[in-house]
Amino acid sequence: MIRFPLALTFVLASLFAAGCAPAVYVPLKAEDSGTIRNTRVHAAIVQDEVAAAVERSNVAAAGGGGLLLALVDVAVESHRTSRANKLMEPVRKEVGDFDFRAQFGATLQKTALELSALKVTQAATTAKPLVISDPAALWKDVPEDAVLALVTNYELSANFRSLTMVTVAALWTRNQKEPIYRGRYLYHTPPIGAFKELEESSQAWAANNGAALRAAMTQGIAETMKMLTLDLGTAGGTPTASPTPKLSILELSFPAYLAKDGNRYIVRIDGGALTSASSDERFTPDSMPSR
Amino acid sequence: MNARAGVVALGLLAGCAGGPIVIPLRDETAGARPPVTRPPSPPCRVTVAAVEDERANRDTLGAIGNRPLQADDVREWIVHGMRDVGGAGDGGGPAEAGRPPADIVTRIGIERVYARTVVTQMEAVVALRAAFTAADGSLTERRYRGTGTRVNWVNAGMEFAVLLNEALGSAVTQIAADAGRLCPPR
Repeated sequence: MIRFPLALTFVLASLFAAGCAPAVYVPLKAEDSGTIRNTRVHAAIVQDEVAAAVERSNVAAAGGGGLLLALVDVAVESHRTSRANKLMEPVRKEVGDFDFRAQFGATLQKTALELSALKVTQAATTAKPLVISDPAALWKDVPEDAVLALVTNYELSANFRSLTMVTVAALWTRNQKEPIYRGRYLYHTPPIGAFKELEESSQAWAANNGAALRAAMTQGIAETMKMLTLDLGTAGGTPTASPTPKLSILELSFPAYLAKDGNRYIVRIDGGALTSASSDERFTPDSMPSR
Repeated sequence: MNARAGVVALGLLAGCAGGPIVIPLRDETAGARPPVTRPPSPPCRVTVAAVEDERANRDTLGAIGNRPLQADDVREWIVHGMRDVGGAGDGGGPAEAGRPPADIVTRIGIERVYARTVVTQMEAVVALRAAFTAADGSLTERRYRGTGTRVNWVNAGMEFAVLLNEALGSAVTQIAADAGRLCPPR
């Protein structure tokens, strides 16, 4: 009997599992984009306000499972969630007038005009959840040839140091059973500061009428639009990465980039997701690149 | 015991099903009456002249996975909750003809009402804007936020209703307290 080494078994199992999940990145081919006469864009942002990530408790997993340990997990997560929400409230109060969905929608309207491959006729945001893998729902009341679905979430990290924005995209045409394009855009800020306590980071985001968080959300939207344009701005063309710059040690730490603005770079990471990250040591409203 | 387990299982399965989760905000068993947090009664007569729905998002009260949270009667729910911002034993209901003039007239703007889930927990937020007009015509405007956090058992509409009522109770308590501070000295 042939016996596979345990490690190899895990690798194969991982590959099979990966095969079940849809690819993060499916580039738009020139022959597909050439068939698109017009596109409707749906952008779903279900969040009404910025949230904070909460780390899962893994007591049950570490202890081998069981109801008692699961209840311990619930208690730990209850404590973490209550604490995170308590720290988020002063931050949310400062940016209560910032309508993320409206700002995203306004920026998307302008960006849609630059997506020449898609010939966008209408771009709208919604608070209702959108299942980008459900073409029947996406095509409802849509007369266009193609539908681009975007789903965006944004939150402060569990340690309250940085803001993360994640957008998942899928482009469908009527005559294809699978999306002709899939993409994922990630935006991260540098840490708001080298604080030891969560309270200090929370206060830094809330300071000066939430200036840092407003700047981060605005920048995250702008960078998301840049990444969208990088993938869908031209017919059948995903731009190739520039060579890794050799100007400074800081820049050498980044892989080849697709776009650069100040110390912020957009790179395509393994799996195909586009990521906008900065080499700045800390995030300040002043560190925003020009746009 | 088996029946109870079946009900729990059905509840869990319901959490996986599609379609909106309807929140019975004014269900009495969800804490809509009496309020979870009874606000302190202001020492003068306070009326709520208007409650306006200023929410940018009136389509949902958030979403759980692919399921939107929905309720039809958000404004009426807030109006009902604001009845507890009364004073001098007169309640905080809308101003009516024949009543003595109020010491504080309050106008409420509903800015945000939503719930969400975080790991095994759920969170609810009610954000209101209150404009207090005193008898001398002076205007004070403030923003109030009520929140609640609880364990999420089965993503049931009633669970969200209880939590949202808790959040509303917290916001109303803060508004009532501030209205009391604005009351003229007697």
